[in-house]
Amino acid sequence: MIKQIHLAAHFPGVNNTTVWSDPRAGSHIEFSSFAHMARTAERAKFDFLFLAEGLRLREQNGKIYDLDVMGRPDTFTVLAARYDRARTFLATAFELFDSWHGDEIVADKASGVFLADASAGRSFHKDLFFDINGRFNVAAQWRALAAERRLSIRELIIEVTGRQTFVGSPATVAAAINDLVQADASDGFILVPHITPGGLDEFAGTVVPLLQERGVFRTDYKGSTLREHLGLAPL
Amino acid sequence: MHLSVALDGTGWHPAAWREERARPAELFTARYWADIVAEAERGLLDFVTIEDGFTVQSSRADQVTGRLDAVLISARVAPLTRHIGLIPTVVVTHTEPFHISKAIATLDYASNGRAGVRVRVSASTEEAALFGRRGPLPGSELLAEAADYVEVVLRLWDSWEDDAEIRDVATGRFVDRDKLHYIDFAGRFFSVKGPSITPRPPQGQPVVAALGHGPGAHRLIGQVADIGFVTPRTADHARDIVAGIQTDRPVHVFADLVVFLGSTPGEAARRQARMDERAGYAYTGDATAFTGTPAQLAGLLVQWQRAGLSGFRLRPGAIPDDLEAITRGVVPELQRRGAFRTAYEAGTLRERLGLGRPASRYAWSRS
Repeated sequence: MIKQIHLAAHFPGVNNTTVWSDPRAGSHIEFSSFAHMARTAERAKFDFLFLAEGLRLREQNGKIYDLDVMGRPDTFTVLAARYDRARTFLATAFELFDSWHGDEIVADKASGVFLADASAGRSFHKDLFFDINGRFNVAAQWRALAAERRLSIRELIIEVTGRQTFVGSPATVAAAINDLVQADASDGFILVPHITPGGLDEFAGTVVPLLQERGVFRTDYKGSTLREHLGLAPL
Repeated sequence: MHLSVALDGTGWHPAAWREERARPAELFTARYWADIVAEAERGLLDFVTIEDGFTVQSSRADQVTGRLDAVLISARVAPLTRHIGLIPTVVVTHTEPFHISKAIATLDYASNGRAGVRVRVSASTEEAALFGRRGPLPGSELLAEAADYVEVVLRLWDSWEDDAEIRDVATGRFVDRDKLHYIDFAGRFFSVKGPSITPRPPQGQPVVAALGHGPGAHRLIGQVADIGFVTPRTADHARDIVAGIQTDRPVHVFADLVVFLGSTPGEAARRQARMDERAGYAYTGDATAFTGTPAQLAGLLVQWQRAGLSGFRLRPGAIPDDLEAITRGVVPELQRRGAFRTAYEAGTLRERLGLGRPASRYAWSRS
């Protein structure tokens, strides 16, 4: 049987991909916004709705950052494992950043010494989530990419840190999602619309029917629990 | 008169779940709670409170054990109701004020201004062991901690001024950062910087309630609560309690009564006796029990109110029987006496209680 796609909706909120200045942008706090998006996702037979959690307002230079959406209601459904991984991910990333101390690059043409320490960037890290043994060379990769494609720093950051983005007609987007899932790049996608609360409406109305026509997305719920939607065995 | 009901499982009597119309198998469903809160709303009640705690209620296999989270029940029923206030219980001894402030603020958004919180302290060793952070505190310390807890929660609710979200497209600013405030609370029990992650709730400050049986808890009610639930034995006792609650703020004092109702005094007594027999003992709790007809209870409520009470929190002995006897029996009797509303007026829970909407303390300090 052809592999079935799982789809989830991420309520847009405190991040720089949420467009609050659009005339269609509504409240990120009022319950009606959550109800709208949840109903859209359920109408489109999505697996689940994802609500992010964060406790602290972002600051920049000691002041509260005022340019992005700020504030969120309480989201009770925190997936602990996700955040354990996130915490470990960050700690590991900092270890990797710190594997270069900043004074390794001598680049002395006269003596021919480029690195003061030939093992700069050497890292070992092993835990439940990550097993890393090697040399951290992201900076070098990024520089090479920027040079090759003549990217500005801004363009480079967008290129290397952006999430998977689907742009195009409903048919293009449906094909792209299906191709990735059938190629086992993932089992599905968590979609983050740019606009609250109506940002999912068009996807639900145009892309989902195309996925259903291809027989890769459910036309109705078969079970009632989240585990059942995800095809996980009962415990 | 203000009138509310305290919801706890299938009712306050330990054998209530064995009554014919009880729905013990549905206690862990949303539908059960939606149905009983809807019944309370049909009775035009001011609010419901929902009990909560972290330890199981009973070690006996023949009594109801386990419960759903009171804040989450309230959030679930909020969009299904329109008027009735929702006051879940939270145990302040083992939770963080930051989490509870945003949870209750969120309930206030989900209910369009009908949220409150009843703060409860816990002296139980078993409950402390569930968290493992520390042993039980002495009673006076529990109450001092609860007072600081409420102060932190209030400051967090105030930490966003009402109009902090500006969405100013011209300057690209989503918020006016001058209207977000660090609360910088530092006390013996908490050290909280703030601001909240959740904008100021619709009521400004959702309603704070506490139950108290003695002078220490009555002092806490006078310090921090909008509503105090008290347990007088008589009208005179109620008068003494009201007089003993020292405060310079408007505080509503509600008397708690456990009620067993019937169409005749005999029927009410028979119902109570049946439940006592099934439990194996005569149920008594911290609050006075009333056994009789709805008309008799209405008369008693009117009489006791003259002691200076704002209203009552009735604890139905069994649900749905005693709950329906309140909404369909006691309420019409009170209405007939001109003592209770005949329709809801639009407005928030604070407005229904005549409490007004407090300005953020930080807006005051800035201007």
